[in-house]
Amino acid sequence: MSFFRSLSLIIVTLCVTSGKVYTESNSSNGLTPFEKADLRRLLELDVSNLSQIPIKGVLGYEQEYWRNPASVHVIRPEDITLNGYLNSVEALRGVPGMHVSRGLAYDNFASMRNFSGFSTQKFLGKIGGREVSQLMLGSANYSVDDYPVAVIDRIEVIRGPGASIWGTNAVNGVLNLVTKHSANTQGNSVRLAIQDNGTFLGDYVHGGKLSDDSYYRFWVRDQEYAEGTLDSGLPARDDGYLRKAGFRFDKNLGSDLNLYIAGGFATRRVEHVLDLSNRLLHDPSKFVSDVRNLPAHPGFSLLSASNQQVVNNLVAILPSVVPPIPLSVSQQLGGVLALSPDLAALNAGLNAFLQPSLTYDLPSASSYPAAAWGANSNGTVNYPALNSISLLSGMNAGRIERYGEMTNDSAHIVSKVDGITDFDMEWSLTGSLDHTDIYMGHLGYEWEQTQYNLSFDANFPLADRHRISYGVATQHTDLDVKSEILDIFQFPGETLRPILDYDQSFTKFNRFTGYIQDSISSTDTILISVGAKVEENDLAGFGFQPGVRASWMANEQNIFWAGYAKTHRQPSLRERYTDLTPLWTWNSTTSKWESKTYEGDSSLDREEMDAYELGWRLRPSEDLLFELSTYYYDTQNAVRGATSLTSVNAYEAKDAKAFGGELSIDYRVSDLWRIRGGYSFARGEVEGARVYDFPENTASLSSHFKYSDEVTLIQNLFYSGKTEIPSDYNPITIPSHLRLDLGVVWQTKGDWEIGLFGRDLLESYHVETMYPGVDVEPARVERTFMLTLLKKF
Amino acid sequence: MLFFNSRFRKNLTSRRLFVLLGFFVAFSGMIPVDANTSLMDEKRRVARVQATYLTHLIKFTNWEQPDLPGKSESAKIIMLGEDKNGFVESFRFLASQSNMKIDGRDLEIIHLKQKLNSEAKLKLSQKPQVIFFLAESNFIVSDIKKLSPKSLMIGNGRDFVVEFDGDISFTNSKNRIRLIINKKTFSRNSPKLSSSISTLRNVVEIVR
Repeated sequence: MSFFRSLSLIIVTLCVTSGKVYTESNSSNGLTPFEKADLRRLLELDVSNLSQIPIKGVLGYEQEYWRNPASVHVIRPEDITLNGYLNSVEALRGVPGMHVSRGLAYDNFASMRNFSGFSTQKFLGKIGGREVSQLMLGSANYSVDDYPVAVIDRIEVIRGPGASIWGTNAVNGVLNLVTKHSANTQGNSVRLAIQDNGTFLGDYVHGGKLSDDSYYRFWVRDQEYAEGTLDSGLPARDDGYLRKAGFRFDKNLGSDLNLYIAGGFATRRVEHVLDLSNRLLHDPSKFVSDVRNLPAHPGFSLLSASNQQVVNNLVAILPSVVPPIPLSVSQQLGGVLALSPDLAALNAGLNAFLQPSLTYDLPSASSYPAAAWGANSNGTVNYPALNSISLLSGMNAGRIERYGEMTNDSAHIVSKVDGITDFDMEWSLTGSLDHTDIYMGHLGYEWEQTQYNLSFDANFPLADRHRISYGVATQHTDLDVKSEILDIFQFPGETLRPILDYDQSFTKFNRFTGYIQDSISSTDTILISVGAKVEENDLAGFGFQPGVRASWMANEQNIFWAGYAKTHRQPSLRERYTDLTPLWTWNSTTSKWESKTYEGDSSLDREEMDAYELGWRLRPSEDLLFELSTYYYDTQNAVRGATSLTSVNAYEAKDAKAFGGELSIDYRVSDLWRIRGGYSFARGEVEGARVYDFPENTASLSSHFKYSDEVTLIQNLFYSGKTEIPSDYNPITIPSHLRLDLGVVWQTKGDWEIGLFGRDLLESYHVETMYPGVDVEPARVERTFMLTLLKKF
Repeated sequence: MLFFNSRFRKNLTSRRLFVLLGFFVAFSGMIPVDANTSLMDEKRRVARVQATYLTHLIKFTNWEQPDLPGKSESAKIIMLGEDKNGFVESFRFLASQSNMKIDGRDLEIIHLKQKLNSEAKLKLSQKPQVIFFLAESNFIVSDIKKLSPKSLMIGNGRDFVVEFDGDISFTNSKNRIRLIINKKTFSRNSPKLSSSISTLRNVVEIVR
C-alpha cells in the first residue's frame, strides 16, 4: 500500500473515531480542545495586545488561528532564550521543514523544504516590517538582520507558498519576524551570551515613554565571533564581529490611528575564503596528442624497441582526451617526466623528422602571478578526478585558498501608519529605505544597494462572510556594483577579467505589485481564501500568481486543509547579469593563458512553481497537538548552478520537482513538562535526477521540564540526514549527524534568567555545510558550553 | 520516483486547470455560502476574548475588605443570562489556568440562566464581587443593582454603561473588542478600577 493511501486510511479512521461533529448545538455546551489551547494563548496577552485580536481575521495573516489553512510554526522570544539559541536563525533549527546548518562561526544557513540547497534563497524574509532580500544574491543574511530577543514579538515561519498575499519570492515559504510595540519594551533589558570558545553576544535595550501616547526604544548589540577550526584541523579564520544598533518610536495619533518609525544600522567585519585549488589549470593535450600520434608516424619503427615500448606504455596510460588539470598537478607530473630516464632516452632517440622532443610544456613563472599563488598555497587537497588517470593516480592538487575581508554595512529606516476606518476597513501605509554595502574581498566584488519600498494594505468586511484584503506596493532599487581584479588573476599581457563582472547596463529596478484576496466563511466548518497577486517586475516581467486555500473543521478535534498556489521567484542579479570568470587555463599549444567565463544569463526567466499542499491538524486535548503537512512542488525554470566546465552560463534553468511532508507534535505532558518534536521528509528531483543538497530526513525533539518554579531543565535533540555539497572537483558529503543540547535555566523572581547550556554534546565536532564553489572544506561545528544572562530592570 | 511517474503526475495539467477554474468560480462569488447559519466561530472567538478581558479586569480591580467575603470564603462571580457562545466555560477555564483569586480568596463562578427567581435573588444578595451580564441576558440592570449595589457590573453594549449606569461593557467596533468604562469606576473607593487601564486609548472609552 502506498504512503498516500496509508495516510488517507489513518486520517479517515481517526476522523471517524475521534471527536464529535462540530455543530453549534454541541459546541456551545463546552470548549473544544482547540478553543482551550487558544484561551491559554490569549491569557498570555496583556490588555493592549488583546485589543489587537480581530473579530474577523484575514486568512494568511492570522498565523496562530487553528483553522488557518497553512503550515505554520511560531517562535516566541522565550523559545530562543530557553533553548540556548544565540540568535533567531539558530531558533529555526526546531522548526519542522527547516534545515539550519552552520557554515562558519558567523553564518548559519536556513533553508526551507527543498530546492534551497544551502542557501536562504527560496523563501521570503520579512524582518521588522521590511523585505530583507538582496537582489544581487537573491537571499538574505538573517544573522546581520537579526534583532535582540527583547524586541522580538514572534517569528512566524510559514511553510509553503503564500504568493497571493506575500508575493514574489514566497516560493518555499515566508519567514516573518515581528518586533514589539515600544510600549511593550519599557525599562531596560540586557542579554549576554558567552561561549567557552570565546564567542560573545551582548545586547542592551532601553525603552521609555515620551507621553501618554508615545513610546520609544533603542538598542545596541555586539557579537564577537571566535575563530573555529576547519574539518582538517586547520584554523577556519572565521573570527570577526557584528555590531548593531536600532530604535523604534511609536505614537498613537488618534483613535485607531498609529504610527511607528524604526531604524537601525549594522556593521560586520569578517574574513572569507575563496578556494583556488581548481582555478589555475593546465591543458596537457599537446603532450598527450604528441605521444598518442607517435605510433602512427611512418618513422616510428625507426625508434629502438625500448623507446617504442616507452611510447606504447605512455599511450596505454594516457586517455585520448585529458581535461585541463590543476597546474599544481601538472607541475608534479612535469617534474616526474623531467626526471624520467625513459623519457630522456626517448627524447635522445627522437629526431627532427619524428618529433624534436617530447616536452611537457609548463607555463613559466613569469607568465602568471606565481608569487601570489605561492603565497596562498596551503598544503594539498583531494582531487578525485585524478584517480581516473593512472598516470596521475595518487597525486593531490595543491590546496590554494585566498582569504579576503568581507564587510557588510547596512542601515534602514521604516515607517508605518495604520488605522481602522468607521466602516471597519483596516489599512496600513508602510515606507522603508534600506541601504547595504557589501564587499567580498575574497572575490574582489562589491555592491551597494539602495532600496525604496512603499506599500498600502487594507482589508474590510463584505457582507457577513467575506473579508476582502487588497494591497498595492512599489519597490525601486538602485545598485552600484564594482569589481576588482585580484592579484592572483593579474596575468601579464593578457586581457584581464574580474571573477565577477556585473553588466552595468542594469543598475535600476522597479517592481509594482497588487493583490486581492477574499477570506470566506463558507459555512461554520469551511473557510476558504481565494486571491491573486499581479506583478510587473523588471527582473521577472509580468506575473499572475493565484492561490486558493481552504480548511475544513471535520469535528472538534480534526481540521483538514488544502492549498494550491502558483508562485514566482525572480532570478537574482548574480544569476542574470553577472559574468563569472573563475579560472584560467594554460594552453600549451598556443602558450597563452586563457580565461573561462560563464556568462550571466539575461534570458533566465522567473522560476514558476505550482504548489499543492494538504494538511491535517489533530488536537485530541488542549495539551496535545499533532500537525501533518504534505506538499508537492512542480517548478519550471528552477535556477541551478551549472555543473559542467563546458557550460556557457553559470546558472541554468531546469525543471524540478519536490515532495515531502512534516509531522510535528506539541505535548504538554503536565504543568511541569512539555515536549515538542518534529520529523520532516523532503525529496527533490531536477530533470529526473535525485538531488541531495537538502537532507531527506530531519527530526527534532525538545523537552522542557520545570524542576521547580525557578529551574527548568532543557533537552534538544536534532537529527539531520546526509547532504552533498556540489563542487566542480571535490563534492563533499556531509554525513548525517545527531546533535544533543542540554541546558538548565534559572529564572529568578528578580527578573534574572541565567542559563547554562552544553551544545553538540554527543561528539566533539561534526560538519554541517560549506559554501559550494567557494570553500575548500567545511568548518567544524564543535561541542561548546554557553552561559547566558538575561536581566530586565 | 514512482510518484513522479504516477497517474497523479500525468493528470497534473488537467488538475491545474480544474484548480484555476475553482479559483475563478470562488472568486466570482459563485461558491454557495450558507447565509442562514450564524457565524458561530466568530461569536465564540468574541466570547473567548471577552472572557480573557474579564480576567484582566478583575486583576485591575480593588475591593475594600467590607465588600469582600470572609478570608476563608470564596469570592463570587455571577454570570447572568443564556450562554450560547462558550463565555462561561471560557472564563471558568481561564480562571482555572491562571489560578485566579480575588484578594487571596478562591473564586466561585455561578451561572444563572433564568430570570430573577428566588434562587437568583439569593445568590445575588450574597455580595458577589463581579456580576457579568451575558449578551443574551434578560436580567434588568437596575433590579440587580438594587440587590447587589457593591458589585462590579460588567455587560455588553454601549447602553449598558451610558443608559443603565453599568461599570464596564464590551463593544464590538471596527473589528475589535473594546471597553466602555464608567468614569466613576476609577474614582470610587470600592470596587475601584486601576487608572492604568484608562491610558489604553485604542481599547478604552471612558464615559459619563
